[in-house]
Amino acid sequence: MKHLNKIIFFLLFFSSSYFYSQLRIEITGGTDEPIKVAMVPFEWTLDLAPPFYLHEIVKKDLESFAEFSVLNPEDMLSYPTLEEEVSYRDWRLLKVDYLIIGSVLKSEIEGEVNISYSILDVSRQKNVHKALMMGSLGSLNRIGHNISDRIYEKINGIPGIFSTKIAYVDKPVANKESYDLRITDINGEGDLSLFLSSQPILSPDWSPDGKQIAYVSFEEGTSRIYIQELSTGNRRALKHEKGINSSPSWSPDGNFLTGVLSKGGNPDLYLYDLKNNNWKQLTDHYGIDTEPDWSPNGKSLIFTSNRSGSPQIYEINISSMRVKRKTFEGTYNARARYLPDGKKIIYVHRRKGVFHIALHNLKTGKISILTDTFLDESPSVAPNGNVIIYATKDKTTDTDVLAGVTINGKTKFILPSASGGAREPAWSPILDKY
Amino acid sequence: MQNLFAGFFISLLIHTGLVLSLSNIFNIDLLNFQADYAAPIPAYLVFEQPALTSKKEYKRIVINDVTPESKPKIDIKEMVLKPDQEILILESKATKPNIVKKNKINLSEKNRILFFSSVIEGQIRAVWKKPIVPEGLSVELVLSMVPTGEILDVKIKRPSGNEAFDRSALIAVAKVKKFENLSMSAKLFDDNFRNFSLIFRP
Amino acid sequence: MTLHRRFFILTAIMFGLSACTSTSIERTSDATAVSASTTSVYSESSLTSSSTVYFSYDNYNIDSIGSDKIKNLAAIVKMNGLNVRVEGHCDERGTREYNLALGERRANAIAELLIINGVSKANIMTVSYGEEKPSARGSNEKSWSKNRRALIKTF
Repeated sequence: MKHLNKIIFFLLFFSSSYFYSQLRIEITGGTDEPIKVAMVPFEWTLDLAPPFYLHEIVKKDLESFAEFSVLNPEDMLSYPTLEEEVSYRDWRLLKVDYLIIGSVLKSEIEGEVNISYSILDVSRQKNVHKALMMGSLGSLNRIGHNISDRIYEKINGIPGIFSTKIAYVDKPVANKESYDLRITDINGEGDLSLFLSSQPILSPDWSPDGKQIAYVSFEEGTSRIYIQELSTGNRRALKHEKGINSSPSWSPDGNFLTGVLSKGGNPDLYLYDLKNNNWKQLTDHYGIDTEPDWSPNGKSLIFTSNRSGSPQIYEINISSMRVKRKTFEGTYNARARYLPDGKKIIYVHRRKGVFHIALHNLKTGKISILTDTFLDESPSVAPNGNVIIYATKDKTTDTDVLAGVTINGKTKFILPSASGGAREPAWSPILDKY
Repeated sequence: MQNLFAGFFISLLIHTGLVLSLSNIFNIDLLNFQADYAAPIPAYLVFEQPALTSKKEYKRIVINDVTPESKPKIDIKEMVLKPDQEILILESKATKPNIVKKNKINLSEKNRILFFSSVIEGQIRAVWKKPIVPEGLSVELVLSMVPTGEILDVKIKRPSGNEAFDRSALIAVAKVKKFENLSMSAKLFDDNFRNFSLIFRP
Repeated sequence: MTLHRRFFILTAIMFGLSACTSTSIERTSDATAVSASTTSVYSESSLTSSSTVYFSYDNYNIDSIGSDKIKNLAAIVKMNGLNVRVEGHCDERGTREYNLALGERRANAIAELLIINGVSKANIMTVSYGEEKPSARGSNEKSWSKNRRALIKTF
């Protein structure tokens, strides 16, 4: 007992110094200046001339959303390719935060290249990331976007989206009877057609592994849901029912799809089992239930319903089947999509007769309007939760265009569409996962 | 059995007494105590004037052994203390010191701490480039500094869980390297600024 | 042999690279997407007539003009043993899928009125195109009013 007393005494005595409050200073904000990155043109050891420059791809990617400023090679004081060659003072003078150096090396394998690069923290003179990449010479463009992704991720802590794609429906103004399901890179390159039809196509939705796209097609004279495999072009129709078959939304595990069927007399949400090819009813209400979207954790669905008299957003828990209303502001809230963190949603919100895209915090109920363009609809979120793309109308030319905005509302952009009929964008998941 | 209880009770009394007296010595407010951390001092309080430019508030301890006519008086009023400077004044046995009472000084110690905290905060803010990270993150760094303002060491005390966010805080500290305009008394520095925490919480 | 050597070199490099920094070895693939086509294309070769009934915004009530049209059409359909296809359409405002549902409400309303007027349910098919097939282009009330319609096609 005596020993125990001594122990307690000493513990108390010495622990009291732990409770001594140290000065704590809180930093609640920083500078608005973009992070400055410099990518030294990589060493090129191949015999043939480079088809294009990796640093130009990376510069264009990183500057896409005004989040970075990338130094031009002409303004560099030195051109190191190895870490030992780096004189950090040179880069501090240029106020560079991160430096990327590397080489494109010949591979033993014919037609292939090996690329090694490092991302360096200039202020602390530390190596943040080292990578070795291998690929064919033909995939040099993809390698460039992968490097952009890696840089973005190391600096921002969220994935880069420069290797992602956007699926959309194109209906050329010139040709009334043409509907084209297409995919493109986010910088507009690699635009190609997946499915061309003389009848309407809508609601494309990517599978979680990015290998398939589900969509609605009217090729048989009525709405039906199809799944197309990107690498082969093979198509498969889901078991179709009488009435509407639409609004496909892939489950996060890739085994199910939710869709909307009106075979019961009015549009309700149904669950499709991809293995057994059958539908199971999820909601049963005489109103219109449509536009479902799976939560990232697979536990609930968000959807549009007019059961209260006008379209509003509701959430249904898949296991308990409990339905909860989420939107209470305005008389038209529809087509909701979860952000990747599952804590917020975006949807079409009508205010004073104008359709906007709104961002809504599910916990606090706080809403912020993200867009101020015309007839905004079909919002889709980038897989890193940082950018939104949506369909809108260019009033001056009366054409359908795809527009985008960063989630903080600071950067806005428009994707020019040659045909003037781009709509229904769907952002792919992160592709090229390692 | 009874003996055990008595002994336990007495030791409980002693330890409670110890806790109470120790907390008193270290100025710990037991009633408002939080085990996780003390609330950070808000460094955004507005100051009318940094009263350090006023030289009137310094302690006037004057004296030396020699008669006033032969040696010049050290006029403290005209001296501005640099952070690493201390004025040592010898106290004469003969005469009594003429000390200005402490409560006549306008700036309390707490206000001085707040002022210098805001100076530090401002210099960090000017260089911190916050990355695009999820909301609600915060990282706590511990810095050790010398009176010149030079940062000797920085460590992560409590990481945010996001490597990029933590690194951005470390980079901000690395960019500052040396805090400017931190002229304060040695005691104030040692008590508060030799080792302190920075909490990055946007 | 080369594969093993390559693997060995890679792992050696990997161990060399893995200091206190993060390292990755990545392999890109050349996969691209393939275009698809369909064999079935809907056509309306045996169309005999097409009538249009108009609706007001966000509504599927049939006005008197519409119900008269339907009454007359019902008689013709019964007399000639025709099949009817009712297509519901909407103007471009609002979301596409919600408009699909709204278009169906319009088509169903017409179908119900046809049935009341004696047409057999088995001869009626309803389809909704939502806002996908507008008849008039333009983002103004003039165009929108032309698109809020149901087409009654007989075969």
